[in-house]
Amino acid sequence: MPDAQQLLKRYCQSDDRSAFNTFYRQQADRLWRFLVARGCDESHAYDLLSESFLKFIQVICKDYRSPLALLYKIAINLQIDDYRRKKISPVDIDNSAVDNYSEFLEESSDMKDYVRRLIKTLPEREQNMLLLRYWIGLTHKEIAVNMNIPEGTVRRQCADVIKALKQRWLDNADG
Amino acid sequence: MANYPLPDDDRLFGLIKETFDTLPGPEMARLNQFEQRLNRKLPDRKSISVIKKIPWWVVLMFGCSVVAATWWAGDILNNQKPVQVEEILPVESNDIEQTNNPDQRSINSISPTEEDHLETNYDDDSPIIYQRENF
Repeated sequence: MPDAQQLLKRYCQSDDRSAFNTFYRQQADRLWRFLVARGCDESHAYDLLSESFLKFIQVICKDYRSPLALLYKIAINLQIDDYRRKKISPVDIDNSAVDNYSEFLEESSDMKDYVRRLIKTLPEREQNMLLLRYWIGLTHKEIAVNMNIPEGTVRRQCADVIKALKQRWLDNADG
Repeated sequence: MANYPLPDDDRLFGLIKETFDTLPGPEMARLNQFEQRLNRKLPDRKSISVIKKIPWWVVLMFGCSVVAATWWAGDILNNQKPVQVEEILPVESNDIEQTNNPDQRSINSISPTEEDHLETNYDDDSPIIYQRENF
């Protein structure tokens, strides 16, 4: 199966629309899940998805080396704008208070749900980094471009996020 | 209380991926509907790629010919004869009046021989209804 970069190269260089459609089918489903996982309600995730792709097609052919990083950057920025407009936070629990997220975690039905809830207790920026790196599979370099920070910083922050996640896991297990 | 053992790094990374991959997905009908709409809005890459395929030397030749044409046109315009401006000399006031009043000029400029001729040829059918007499 051709990767995202090859598909968009074909679209940008040869106007191969079927290549773009393949890219869309590969990514739309996961982008929608990403938006929902980041706290967006399901119906609104469709709107953000469509808006993200519309913005994406306007700029992708200028530089198609990291299409996924660009697509998720657009989606995250749109979601942030959306939350700013609505004046609500994607994480509606207080991260600083351990007791609150302990209760939140206790409600988990299985291990996957527990992991999902545990990740949701992290700050927004760390959630984005974790999901982009370990779920979407972006490289450190792509995340660095996405977040406008040096690659070394991304490596360190990814390690810190995993460390924080493990610590919370242990804290909750002990508590 | 949920009390799961802490997995190792590889298991944790696998678990993160698995967790989000198994989340309920979107309605495919809505995604397909949007795909069709997106297809209509895709920019036409053909025209853009045709422009990008023009070799650099063609662009260079075009640029050179535009510069040459501009230079040539400028040269032609510079070689045109300059408009000659007549030098206006100061004139006396009587001359100006004569120039401004052609009737007056015609009267004053009549020579004595012409006056004689007019007197001689005076008749009733003449259009001249008044003429100053000579004293």
